[in-house]
Amino acid sequence: MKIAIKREQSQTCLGFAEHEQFAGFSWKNTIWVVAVFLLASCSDYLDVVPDNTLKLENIYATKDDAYNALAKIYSYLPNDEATHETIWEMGDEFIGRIDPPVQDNTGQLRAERIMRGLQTTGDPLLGNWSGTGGGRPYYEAIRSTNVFLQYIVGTRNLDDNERADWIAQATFLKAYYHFLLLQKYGPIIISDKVIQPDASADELFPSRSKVEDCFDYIIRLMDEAIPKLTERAEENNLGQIDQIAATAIKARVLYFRASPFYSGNKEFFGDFYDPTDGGPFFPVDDSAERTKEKWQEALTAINTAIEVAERNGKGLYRFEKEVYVKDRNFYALNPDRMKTYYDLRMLIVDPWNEELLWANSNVDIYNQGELAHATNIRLPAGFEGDVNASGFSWQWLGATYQMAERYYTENGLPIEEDLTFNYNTRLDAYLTPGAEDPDYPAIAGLMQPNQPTINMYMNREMRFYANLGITGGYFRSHFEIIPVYMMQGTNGGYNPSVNATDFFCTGIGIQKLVHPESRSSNWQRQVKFPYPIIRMADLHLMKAEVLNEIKDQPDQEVWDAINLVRERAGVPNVEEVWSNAALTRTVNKHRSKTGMRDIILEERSIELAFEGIHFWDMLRHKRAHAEFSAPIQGWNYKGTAPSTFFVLGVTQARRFTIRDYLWPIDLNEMNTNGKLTQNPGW
Amino acid sequence: MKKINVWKDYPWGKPYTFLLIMKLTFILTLLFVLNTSANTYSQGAKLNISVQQATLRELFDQIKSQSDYKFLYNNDLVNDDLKINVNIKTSSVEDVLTEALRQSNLSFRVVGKQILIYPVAETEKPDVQAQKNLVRGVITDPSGAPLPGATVTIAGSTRGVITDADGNYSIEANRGEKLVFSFIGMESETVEVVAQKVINMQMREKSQELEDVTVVAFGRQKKESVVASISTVDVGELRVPASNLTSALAGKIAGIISYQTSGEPGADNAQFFIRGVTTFGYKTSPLILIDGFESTTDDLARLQPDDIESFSVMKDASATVMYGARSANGIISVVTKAGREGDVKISFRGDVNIAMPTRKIEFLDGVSYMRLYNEAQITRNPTLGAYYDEQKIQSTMRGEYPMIYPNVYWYDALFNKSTINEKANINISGGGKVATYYVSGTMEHETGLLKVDRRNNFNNNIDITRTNVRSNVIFKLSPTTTLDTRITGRFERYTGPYETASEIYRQIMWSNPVDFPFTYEPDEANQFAEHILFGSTLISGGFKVNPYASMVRGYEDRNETSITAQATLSQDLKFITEGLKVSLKISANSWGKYTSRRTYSPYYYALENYNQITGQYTLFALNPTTGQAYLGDVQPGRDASGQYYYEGILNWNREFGKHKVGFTSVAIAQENLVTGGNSSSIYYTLPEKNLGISGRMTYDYDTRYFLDFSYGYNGSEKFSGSKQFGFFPALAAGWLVSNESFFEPYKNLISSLKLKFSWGQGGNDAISGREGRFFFLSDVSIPQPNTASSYRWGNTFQNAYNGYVVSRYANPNITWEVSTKYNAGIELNLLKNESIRIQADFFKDKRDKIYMVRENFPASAGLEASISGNVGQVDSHGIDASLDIEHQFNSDFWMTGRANFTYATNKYVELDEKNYPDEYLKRKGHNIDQWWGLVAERLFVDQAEIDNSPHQDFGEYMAGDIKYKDVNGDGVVNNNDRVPMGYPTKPEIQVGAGLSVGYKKFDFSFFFQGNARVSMFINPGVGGGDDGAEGIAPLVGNRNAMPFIADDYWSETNPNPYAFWPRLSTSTVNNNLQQSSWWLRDVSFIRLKSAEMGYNFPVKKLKLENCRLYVSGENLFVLSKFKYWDPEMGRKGIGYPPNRRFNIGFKLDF
Repeated sequence: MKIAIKREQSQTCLGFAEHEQFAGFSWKNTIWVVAVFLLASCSDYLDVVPDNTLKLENIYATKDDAYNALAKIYSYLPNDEATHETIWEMGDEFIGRIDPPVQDNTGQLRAERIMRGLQTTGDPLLGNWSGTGGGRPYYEAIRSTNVFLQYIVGTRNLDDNERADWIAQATFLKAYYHFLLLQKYGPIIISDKVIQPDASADELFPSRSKVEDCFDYIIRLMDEAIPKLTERAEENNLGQIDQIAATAIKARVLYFRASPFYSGNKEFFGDFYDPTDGGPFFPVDDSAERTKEKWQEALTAINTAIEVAERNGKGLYRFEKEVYVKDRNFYALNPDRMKTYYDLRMLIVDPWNEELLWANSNVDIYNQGELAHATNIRLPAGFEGDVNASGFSWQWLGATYQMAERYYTENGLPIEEDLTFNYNTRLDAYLTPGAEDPDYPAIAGLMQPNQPTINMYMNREMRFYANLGITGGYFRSHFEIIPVYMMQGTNGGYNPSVNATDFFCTGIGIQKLVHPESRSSNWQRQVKFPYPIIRMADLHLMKAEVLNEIKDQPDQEVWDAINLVRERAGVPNVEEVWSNAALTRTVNKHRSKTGMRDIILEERSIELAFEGIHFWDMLRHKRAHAEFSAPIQGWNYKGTAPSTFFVLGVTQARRFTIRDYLWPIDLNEMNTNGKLTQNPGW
Repeated sequence: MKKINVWKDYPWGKPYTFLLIMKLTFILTLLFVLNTSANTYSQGAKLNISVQQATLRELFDQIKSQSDYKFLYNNDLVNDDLKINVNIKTSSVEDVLTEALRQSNLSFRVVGKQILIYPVAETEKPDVQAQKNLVRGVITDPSGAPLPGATVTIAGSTRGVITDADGNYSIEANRGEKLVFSFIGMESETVEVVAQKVINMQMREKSQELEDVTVVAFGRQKKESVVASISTVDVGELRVPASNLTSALAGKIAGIISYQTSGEPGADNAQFFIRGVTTFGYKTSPLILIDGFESTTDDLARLQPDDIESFSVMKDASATVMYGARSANGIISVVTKAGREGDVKISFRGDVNIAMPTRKIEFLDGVSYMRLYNEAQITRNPTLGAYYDEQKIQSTMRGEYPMIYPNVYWYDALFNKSTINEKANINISGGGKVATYYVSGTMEHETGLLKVDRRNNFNNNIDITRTNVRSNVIFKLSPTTTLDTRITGRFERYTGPYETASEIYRQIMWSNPVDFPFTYEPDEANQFAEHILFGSTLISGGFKVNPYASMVRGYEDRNETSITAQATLSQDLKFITEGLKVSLKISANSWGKYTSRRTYSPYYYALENYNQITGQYTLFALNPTTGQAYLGDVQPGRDASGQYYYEGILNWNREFGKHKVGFTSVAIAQENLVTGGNSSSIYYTLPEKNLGISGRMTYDYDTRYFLDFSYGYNGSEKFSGSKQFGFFPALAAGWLVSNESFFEPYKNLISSLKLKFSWGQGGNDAISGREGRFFFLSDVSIPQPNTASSYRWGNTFQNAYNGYVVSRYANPNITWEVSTKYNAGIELNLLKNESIRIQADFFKDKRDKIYMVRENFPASAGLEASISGNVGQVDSHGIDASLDIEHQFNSDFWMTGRANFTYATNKYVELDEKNYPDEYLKRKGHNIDQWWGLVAERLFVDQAEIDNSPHQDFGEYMAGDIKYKDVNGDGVVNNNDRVPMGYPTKPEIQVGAGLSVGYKKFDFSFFFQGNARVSMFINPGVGGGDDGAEGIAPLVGNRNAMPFIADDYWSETNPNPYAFWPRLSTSTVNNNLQQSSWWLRDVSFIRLKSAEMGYNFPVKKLKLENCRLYVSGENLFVLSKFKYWDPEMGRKGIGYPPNRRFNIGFKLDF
């Protein structure tokens, strides 16, 4: 190619030269000057691009350079922390701003829009097939891993172990991106090789693979990667995939594969057929045996994951540090509960604690917009700091009323099951004991003394108080223990004169994702933490669920798995409370397979609340359309007194139908690739 | 011999002057000073002669004043007692003299620039005496110096003599025989021997064509021999009151489609395309050449019509191919005037115009606004209730306490009704034997409509002062050598608002009349505030925009300079072989633009408390800490470019009997450098370069048959390998039918008829912007931290890497976009003195290898950047035609008319588009400016209808929202239900027609211009779309509303399913924003583009030769079906409208 250029150019130069000779007779000197000038610049005249511009090979030249390539393949991981892009807001846990500029903005609170029934095929929200509506383009991600695998073999100063580790990380990520697609789209296109721009139509326009083939492909890649991965990533590499993360994720993949939505789901996918061979895309005809096999494989993977994690010092988190100075009084008054409270309050926000198996470490330490900002409350007047700085705390992503109901009573039972908890009067006013009252120590640090609140906010388990910000309780943030009332003009409430659109529209806040030490006035003083992708409690509860599915009847092994988590939460063991006729309405629910399944899913919805798990649980068990079509309820945020505030109303209508279980493939892609079959209902 | 009046200049000055010029040549050459390739002047100039009872001398003086002709005559012959009357408009000198001398006993002959006056008697008296004469005389060169060695021969014989050292000759010649005078490099002259004893001959240089010449690529050709399709326009027609030449193009030239969407001073360039848009690629605009040098639209816009000698539009391949790399979109070629030998001539013109918008956009008054807003809020969500309470509405209606109950007419608060602009230019020309010069200067002062707040001491209105200077000097270094130097400078000082004026127009749309006054009168607490108390209110966490604050909060200063210098050295090489010439040209341009924006941060206030009885109020500051009363640091901007161009031309033209051949060979090199103020890509600032050789061979047999072959062979920095150079040939043929002998009988009716045909190809390398042009390279970059490709690990999240981004995949196969053009034309002149001239061209353009982003590329391939290829093809065709009429009713009353018609349409023939399931979705076969939209049936009547209609996949909707047709019947209305609708968004037809009439010293002219077959989709949303057109959605986010919506919308009380506006809403309703037939409008129009009335004073005082006073108007009215705003603005109706101007001006000639 280079030679050709030279030849062409020299021809042109010749053209000039001939010309100049003609001209040279009478104006020899002038022409000579011009001719020399032209000839000198002629040979490379058109070659204007300097040699040392960046090329793809340069990125992979040395290990230091190749870190950029490694960053690249990680960079497509979902932004779970980004308020408008996170998939964690799917389901019925979060509720954001309800004023029209946000509600009408297709670029904001996208997951919530899907729950409102506003998903479209034109520009699917959180669409990962083509990267639409705030979704990362996972096929681009997969291509980047394929490119990485192709080039990393040539990187000069990687030693064999490092190279093997990086290759394994890339391979695992490739599998994981396929899994993330599979979760949302069901049958997907498997993209195993780099597709060249000039590829043939057959390579460019493949059809979708069967769900089971996709799972097999993903698991095969993961199995290939796991042995070569570093066992435990440390220090600067925290957040990279190690064996702890990989075995846990593999367990999750198998757990999803066995779940009713993805396996044997004739109800939904009985007529969703692959036109190329007429076979069903989903394994709708799987026998009970086959399903059990899948659960069994999931169990093996979970056990391996737990084993690898525990071998490497992972376990359920406990807060072992000194309690904060301002909490010492409460701690002295109410030591047991405060200890549990701290275990739960710090669980997510204490960075890199032992419970984390894999987390999104791509925390933008220079920017805002993460859930921690959106859920934090504004520092009320009367405290030190820039009280109205909305940049630090948006105070506009709250919890739904459904969440306030979902947490257990202090007995570890759902509020409608607990005989000691009067469900019917739950919304009635209640005045908390005064500071001198003998009942006060039991609520010290959880509820303020002598404050009006409602029955439902009393006698709840610790996760309720640690995760939510409620009227009469405390919101630990800004290095303060902020007493919150959530009514108009009060701490945590709507304030028409200050950032009038920033308020919790249900009157219920979330403090689970806010580090208590985050300071006011500047987002850079927010204490950052990695958002969990998978953590230990999830594994234990997965194990409980899988065991329950495998066994004909739940037994102690199942209960033990769930009890690990309950113990940390400070609630009694499952078999203890559910067999107690004095406590529970449905006695021995834990002894039936279906009853235990409900108990496990409830436990998961509480333990893993606001972590993007509940939506998938409901989806896996085909309960999402029933669960999520109920409207979001909330208090009247404009109420200025308990009488006007505690009026339950509809905050947002929801419509989640069966077609919403699977994301639509965007219209553009459907128009491009004629071999694609659209998901049912779209 | 009687005394002969001849000019007595020295041949080329004294010897030392010559040497000085030689040195100067070198210096200028080395300084890259530039020139144009030819140095002739068009003698096609038309004369307007009006003398009553004048002597012949007076007549001659008048002719001289209007042209470069010199008269040669024997003083005794011209009898001052003879009084003649002549009144002729726009006629050639021959016509004038024929008319004038008919009244005398004299005759004349035009020789070069000389006009010889001789007695009729001598020539026409039959002489029965000696048959043989000894004829003698002196042959002189064009400067009057004797010409030794010239030959005089008797036509048709072998007899001949050569002049002696003093240029004398004598030869025996029979009466009736013809003497042929010839000399190398000079035009041969033939004189019939009648009775003269002395025939003196002043030769003229060959290059100084006197016939109508047309500017062609790298040269000029006689008009009759041009077979390419080239339109020229009478430069006078381009003179309009506006200070922007591009705004005058629409309808004036057959083959150009042009429209102007904004009248904002300094940002009012019109769009223009030659033969419509013929590609969907990156560059659609024509190449602009000013004196042969590629120039920008701004350079063209600022040209003064008085400085222009010729303005031509090269349309077909034969005309453009020699510019290979840049020729595909046609060429606009402008040649500026050069000086002519003779006395100093000074011309001065002054104009003053008053400019006002063609249409003013109306907005609702406060009371109607509040009522409409309340309705909008309640109709979508009854639980929300009214937004504005009745007390506020009532108080506003009573007009009390405007600080508390504002009712702001933002438009009137921000803009003046009209503004005044001034313009003056002067040019001085003349020259001697050594050099000729044309020097001109122009000053323009243009202002905008924005109001200025007296509390600021700076001017936030648009205020532009432009100065243009031009110096075209041609040095005659030797009889065969010229050095043409042209230096032009364009200097612009601009001050204007901090936001652009168009932006402020848009901000009116974002405001509303009732939320706050534009400034508050200070309350007690603020009475000593040293800043303006702007009104605003908190909304959605920010301040609501106050357009007044945006307008007066600061200003922008710009200083723009463009300097072009050209030098062309031309050498006649007749001593090698006759007709051979060479020229070398160097051109350079330096352009720079510096902007500085200065602003303060306005203090916004809102009402804290007020007493509705007393009108007392207190204010609170919305931004007491972030406001800033003084101007902050400058926000500078800086852009510069340098452009260098080198050209060598070798030219050979020769006549062999009836055969005329011409050969032109050109080599060019060009380089464009740009320094962008905020460029981030290394590729942006790399130079753009072209290299090329091109040539033309012409053959003309007997001025009847013409054949042209031309080619361009060009290289571009944008391609590599074998794709780097492109070869583009063109072939053209013409037949001048009227020169055939069989045509003689029809000559009375058809004075001239030419048929022509051409085929050829042109290239286009501008297939992408500067940044993305190195298609053969991949573009991989490591971006800034914390972007989408970065990731961080580690316990402190500090192990961060930026990843990389692929912006382009290498494709070494990307190459030239190629246009294949076919042209068939006819030139027809009817009636004897060509008083009706018709030119029509039928063209076809096949644009191939159009570079485009491949659309049918699946996301599942995972590419980060789009893939492109030379895969598109567009076929265009059309007609452009012009008609000129001239008629002289009598000696006092004349009329000329001109009409132009351009029709150009196109269609996609090949493109990489999606594999759409339905044919109607495919763009193939449709116009490239065809838009697709949903078929809107009507507005939904009720919820039941919604429930029983196909689901519309564009968000929530209710009764009163637009109902669309499910075209493909799949049960859902989505983007796959869009069908092509309306006409293209660029006009397919453009017409212009004008008439000028003169009566005695008065003249009057007007010009209509129209666009047809053009459609537009109203932007029904908020904010600008891709094209920056502000949407008209009312009320959303408390924005303004326009009466034409308030007058016709769906409401629950009046549920008209065909109302203009769907159910009101205070937020955008995505369902209604879809591009659909609901918003489709025909924006064809016809407008009175200009009218002018003038009066010529025949003054003869103070050396003043002529004085003309005129009044003119521009954009006087428009007729269109579309009523909401000026239809020419298209979608950008909420913006600075085109101006209507009334102008008064005068021109003085000395």
